[in-house]
Amino acid sequence: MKKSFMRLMSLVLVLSMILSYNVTYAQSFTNDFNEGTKYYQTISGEKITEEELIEYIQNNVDKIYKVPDISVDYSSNLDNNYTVSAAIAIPAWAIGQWVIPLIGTIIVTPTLIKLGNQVVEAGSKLFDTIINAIERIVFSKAKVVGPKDKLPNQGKVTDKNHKNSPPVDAGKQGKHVPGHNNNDRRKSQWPEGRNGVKETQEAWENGRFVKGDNSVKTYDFGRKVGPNGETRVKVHGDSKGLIHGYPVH
Amino acid sequence: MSNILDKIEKIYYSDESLKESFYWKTKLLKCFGRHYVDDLTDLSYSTCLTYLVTLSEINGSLFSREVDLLLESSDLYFLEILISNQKPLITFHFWKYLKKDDGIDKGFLVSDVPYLKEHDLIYKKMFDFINDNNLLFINDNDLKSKVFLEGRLVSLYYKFFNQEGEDPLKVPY
Repeated sequence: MKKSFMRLMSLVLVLSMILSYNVTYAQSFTNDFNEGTKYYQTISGEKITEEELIEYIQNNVDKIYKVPDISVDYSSNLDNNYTVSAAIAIPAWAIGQWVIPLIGTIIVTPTLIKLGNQVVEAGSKLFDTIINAIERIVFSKAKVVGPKDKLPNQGKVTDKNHKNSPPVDAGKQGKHVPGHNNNDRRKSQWPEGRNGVKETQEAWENGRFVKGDNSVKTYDFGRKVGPNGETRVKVHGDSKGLIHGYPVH
Repeated sequence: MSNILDKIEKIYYSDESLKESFYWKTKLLKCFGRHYVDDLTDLSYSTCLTYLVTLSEINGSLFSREVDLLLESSDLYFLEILISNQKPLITFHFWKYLKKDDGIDKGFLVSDVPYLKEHDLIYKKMFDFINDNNLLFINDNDLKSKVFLEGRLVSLYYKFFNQEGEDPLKVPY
């Protein structure tokens, strides 16, 4: 009798858990599903399916870029009405605000991806597509250069130890690098034979904002980094999520 | 608006030494006495001399270890002074550098008037400094006015103070 009662109670418990899960699931996605298809709104107001969005991201990785503002409080962007089913650790290099031109800004936090008011389900095809696209942007397109390597004429470059920082725009950095195609001797210069990529990314990571729109940072290394005894590096961020920097006094 | 442009048209530096950052730093040090005056002049992209006066009770620059530590627990206050090296023009703003959040730098807020009552005296001192040195003060509205520079329309801020932005009409105040 006691055994039967326990079995019955277990069954009730399991059934209530299943029911509770389904209700939560349905409430979370009622607005997102129409006959099993999930829709997303484009910045022009049109609705596209998740499959269409995935296809767009896969075909337009080169148009996706990072917003160069690292001071965003990601915790405040969490949707309180959403219950995250499973915690997932998102790599540090992916965290930040990214712009997908078709749908606007997405926010990647250490545990989730938020797209408009929706949280992208961890482990879903869209989730993996976004992470893969960001990985391609961060690593595949930024050429790794050493401090004394010749800087390419253009494109993205990164120091091997600062892959979590925004990449450096080689064309803009080149204005400050002796011997570079874009070199402009009227502007502050890196020492002969150095490209300043490592110092630029380090300064962005550790520096203080010096412009109200958070697009410029300065960091004092406390040692000489420039050819004229400069100890500070000033770094500019642009609308494409790239940075460039040079020594200042 | 044209009034300020007319005034700007008529003024000029009488001596090249007045375009040197050291000249104005010495003057500012005399004016602000106990406050730390940092020379942030960067003529790579700017057409102005830039100074940052630390208003909080620290004898150090924005980039010092002391400021780094204090920002962990409180907001800090600074005064940014821009003096054009094209014409004797000046503008200044108060910064409220925000307390860090979990070690993350939150940047700063900008105002053309002091954030704290105790900085009213600094505000008055700035106008004394401007008058004593025959500089023309440019307010935020005037900074946004449009002028021509090499055939294209730019803000007065861009032409006389700072050309580092991507948008020549965008003014960060």
